[in-house]
Amino acid sequence: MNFISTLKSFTKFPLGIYNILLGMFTVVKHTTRDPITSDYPNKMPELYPRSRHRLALNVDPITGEHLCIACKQCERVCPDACISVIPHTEVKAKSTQFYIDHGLCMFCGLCTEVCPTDCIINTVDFEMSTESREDLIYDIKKLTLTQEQSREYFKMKGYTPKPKKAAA
Amino acid sequence: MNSSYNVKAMNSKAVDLNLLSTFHPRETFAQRSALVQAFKFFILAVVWLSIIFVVAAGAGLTFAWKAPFVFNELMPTWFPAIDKQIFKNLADIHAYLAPTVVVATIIPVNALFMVLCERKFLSLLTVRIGPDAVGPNGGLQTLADALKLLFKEDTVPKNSDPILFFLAPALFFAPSMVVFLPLLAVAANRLGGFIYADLDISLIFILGFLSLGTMSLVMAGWASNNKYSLMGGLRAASQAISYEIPLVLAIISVIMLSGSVNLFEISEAQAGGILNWNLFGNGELPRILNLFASTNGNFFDGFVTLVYITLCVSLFLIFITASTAEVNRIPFDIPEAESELVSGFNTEFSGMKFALFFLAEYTNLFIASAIASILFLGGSHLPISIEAEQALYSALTNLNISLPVIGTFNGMFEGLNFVWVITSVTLLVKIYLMFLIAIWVRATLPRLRQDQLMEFGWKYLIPLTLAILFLMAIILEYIKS
Repeated sequence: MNFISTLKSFTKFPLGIYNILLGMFTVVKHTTRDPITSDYPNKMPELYPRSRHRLALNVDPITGEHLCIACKQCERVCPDACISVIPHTEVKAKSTQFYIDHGLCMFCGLCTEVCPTDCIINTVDFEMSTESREDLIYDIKKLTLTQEQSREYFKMKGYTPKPKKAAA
Repeated sequence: MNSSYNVKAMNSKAVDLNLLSTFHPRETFAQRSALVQAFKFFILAVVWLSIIFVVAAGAGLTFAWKAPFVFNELMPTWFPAIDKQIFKNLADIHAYLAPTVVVATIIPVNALFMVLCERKFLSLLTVRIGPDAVGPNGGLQTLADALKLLFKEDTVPKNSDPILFFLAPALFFAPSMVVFLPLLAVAANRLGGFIYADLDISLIFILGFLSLGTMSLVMAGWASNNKYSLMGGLRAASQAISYEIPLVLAIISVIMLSGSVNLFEISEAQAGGILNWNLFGNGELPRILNLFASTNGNFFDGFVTLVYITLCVSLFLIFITASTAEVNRIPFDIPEAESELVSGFNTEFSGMKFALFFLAEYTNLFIASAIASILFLGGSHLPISIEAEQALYSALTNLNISLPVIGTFNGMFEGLNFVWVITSVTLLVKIYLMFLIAIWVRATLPRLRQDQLMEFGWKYLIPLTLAILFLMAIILEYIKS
């Protein structure tokens, strides 16, 4: 009985060979396709404008004033607690220092959603490699964009920033 | 969304970071189209194959012709005081060293290109680019890899067997080097100093020596003191034992077909066009026309020829399958299955020891392709008729090349025939075509499980090959009469 079933399975040989040849033909057809790998270090990949990468702080594109009002909403909402805002002691609605630890940040984008003045934003820059973890903690000077860059950002988003209100 | 502004123009002063600047225009793919990639691969193959050929032929020529010429003609005039017999002996020694020198030069250079060729062709089949950083179109990638391996630390695992660990790579590499010699006799067309490489039993010699390699795989697995290595070694042994039988049975059928165990004679028997290849029944294919009534022939004769041709093609397929398993290649690479065993028997090896394993593996693959192309694809013969080939050979035999540049070496090439250029290039191209098919299979088929492999080998392949052997013996008696 076993012998007969073995003999029967020999009849599957032509079908098996046919299927293998079919697979090999499919593989050969792939040679006509263009390579899909990206040549990353030499050529930058095309990212979507709203992809969430390194965090940055906007300034008012017209006046050049810093948009942060030290409301600490981003600090409150951050799941990783990687943001720390230090408000100005005398002037209202102004921060003296702003730290973001990009080593902790998981780029969820909650801080950018919660920001009342569109100050904190996600940029599309993802190349942040440094030689130490301490270098990943960005201070306000490193985070703040120039007036021109902010203007470009709001132009891309298609709206103007809200006027600066008094602190909530 | 579709805003591709160039922020690089804005010079950021406050931060020296390239902010928001990643919207580059879409890459132009003209440079990377499939056609260009294929063309580049072709150019790479031509360049590397000519390098291999020139290096090997140069080494062979230097020892087989230049050395005897220098010793017999020039040295006695330079040193008249010394006995001529000494120079004659030296000339003989050098002439007979030629095949060994060719083997020693061709194996590393050839393995360099085989690895590169595999990576490039595989990338072509899997819609990638492959190595393209080192050298033009990645042409020197394997050279860089080999150099890196040379400088790597040679680590020996704790509690390993140091002697076996040291011996295993060398013992794996040695048989593949020895086995190369009889192939050279076919490539060089039984010429000059290569005549002693032409053994009467070269096919059996090759089979015997190739099976020695498995022992060193078991040695490597045992000596490494690593469970993955041991499993790899054991798997290699079981696989080699299982698949050597169908391989040899398929080869016996071919031996019956061509009536010789000498590779050169098997190759000679297939001269004169594609129809004379063993793959297509060694010139009996036209008899298949008897099947059709219009030719007014014997129907029985046509039917037997049809069965005979089917057997020949299936022998070729069985040979390819079994030899793929013998040289541990995908889809039969269970001794070094990456997903199960880390890297199989060579897990613990590093540096030059690993390089030797790698080198020997690819050389074995080269030898398997060479045997396949000699046994089935007409060996070193061009796919043209015997008369055309003979005309080409006689034109090349009486070629007189004088080199005016080096006057003292005039007459060096006198009486030297250049038939070996045609035969060896033909064989090399055929071998590489077989190698490309092996890569193609690798890109297509997934790895077999251990039990599937054993079942396929013992329950199907061996009975099938035995049946073919008996059928072949009966049919050949009819066909050849």
